[in-house]
Amino acid sequence: MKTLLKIKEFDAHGGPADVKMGGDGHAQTSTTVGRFVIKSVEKHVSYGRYAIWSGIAWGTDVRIDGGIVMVKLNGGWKKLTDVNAKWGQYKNDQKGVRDMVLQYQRSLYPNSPIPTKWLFNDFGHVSVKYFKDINNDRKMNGKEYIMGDFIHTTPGDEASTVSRKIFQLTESHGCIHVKPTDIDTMIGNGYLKKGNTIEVHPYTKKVIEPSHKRNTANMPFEVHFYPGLYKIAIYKSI
Amino acid sequence: MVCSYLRFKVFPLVILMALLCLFFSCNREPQKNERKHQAADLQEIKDSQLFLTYVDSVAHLPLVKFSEANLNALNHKFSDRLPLIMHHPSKEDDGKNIVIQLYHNNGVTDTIKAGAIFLVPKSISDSLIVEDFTRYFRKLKTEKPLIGVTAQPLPVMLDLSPGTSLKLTFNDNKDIAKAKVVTVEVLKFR
Repeated sequence: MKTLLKIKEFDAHGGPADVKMGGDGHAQTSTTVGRFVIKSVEKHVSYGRYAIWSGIAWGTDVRIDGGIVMVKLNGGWKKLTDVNAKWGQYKNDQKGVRDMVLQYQRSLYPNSPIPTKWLFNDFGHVSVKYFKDINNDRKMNGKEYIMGDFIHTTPGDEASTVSRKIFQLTESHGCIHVKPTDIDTMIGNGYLKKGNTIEVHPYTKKVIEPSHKRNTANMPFEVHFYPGLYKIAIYKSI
Repeated sequence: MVCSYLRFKVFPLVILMALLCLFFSCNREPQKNERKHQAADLQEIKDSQLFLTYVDSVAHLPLVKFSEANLNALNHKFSDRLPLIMHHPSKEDDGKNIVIQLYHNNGVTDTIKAGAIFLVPKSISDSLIVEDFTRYFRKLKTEKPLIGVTAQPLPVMLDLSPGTSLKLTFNDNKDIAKAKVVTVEVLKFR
């Protein structure tokens, strides 16, 4: 057991305390409580229900060529409607696709209405994914799997950050929403790093403890999320 | 004798009185707490209604008067009833205030010329839903919904006049009308 001392705090917003239905017909669940190990820090690409806007990685080059939205993948330009099956449903409506992309771009960046980069991925410019390490070997194996609750930003918060506007984090479907600059700081400082521990505290916890006693597995930092307080606290192992 | 009299006649009476006092105080406490909660709820509703009036006043400022001085003057009028503070990058907010940021866009091609953002604290947001705005302003911009779903709901726009819109950011909800508003932005186009 080692002592963890709190060194920093960041704003963060998880899912609601009690499950409820979101506007997209997908349940909003609470963020799963427990201790987890970070599996990856990467740009997320969706293949499921969010494969339309999140089926393309954040920052992918975009251009509109002859009224057709094109994205640059693996070094070559491709019609957006050829990227995946979800977009493929609209291959006979290139104008409709273009109008939708322009509408979304305009709503996020009203003063830059023509997109040059894909800034619509729901999971922002980087996502932190973690798993429950059942056998405590800090490797994802056996029946272990990546939790559906990522740490990530949102397109709206990214747009506000770029335009230096203030914003508030919103409730998620279970993920942990953080500010774009904060996630960069947490990654840059080595707090959010593959192999590090993330602990999600119960919603009922109303105080951020200044210290904890934990088996840290010799990792220098731990990231603790307090969903009831809308805060992430960083602890240093001593 | 006196001691024995006290022990058998007075002492049980004292205990009975103490129990009665305890009974009534226990029964009164929930009522008191309930009244306290009701008062707090009413205060929240009052604050949210007042906030709508305040946003309306800001939205009525014409673009030429959309300045920090005029906003401060307006804030002053509401300051005894709403926790209004201007955003300062180096000052951290405790989440209890309505934090305001005013901005101007000077680009020739910029469609939005100026705006004011209001971060709504949880104490007000909990009783401030999208429907409150649509009822108060009686306007709602109906944009074609995007293809597919987004994990986070897109903000709602209310066009108040050809030169002014409101942008509402809210926590997701099955019924958008009942969604809690967390950020309000007054947009000035001309």
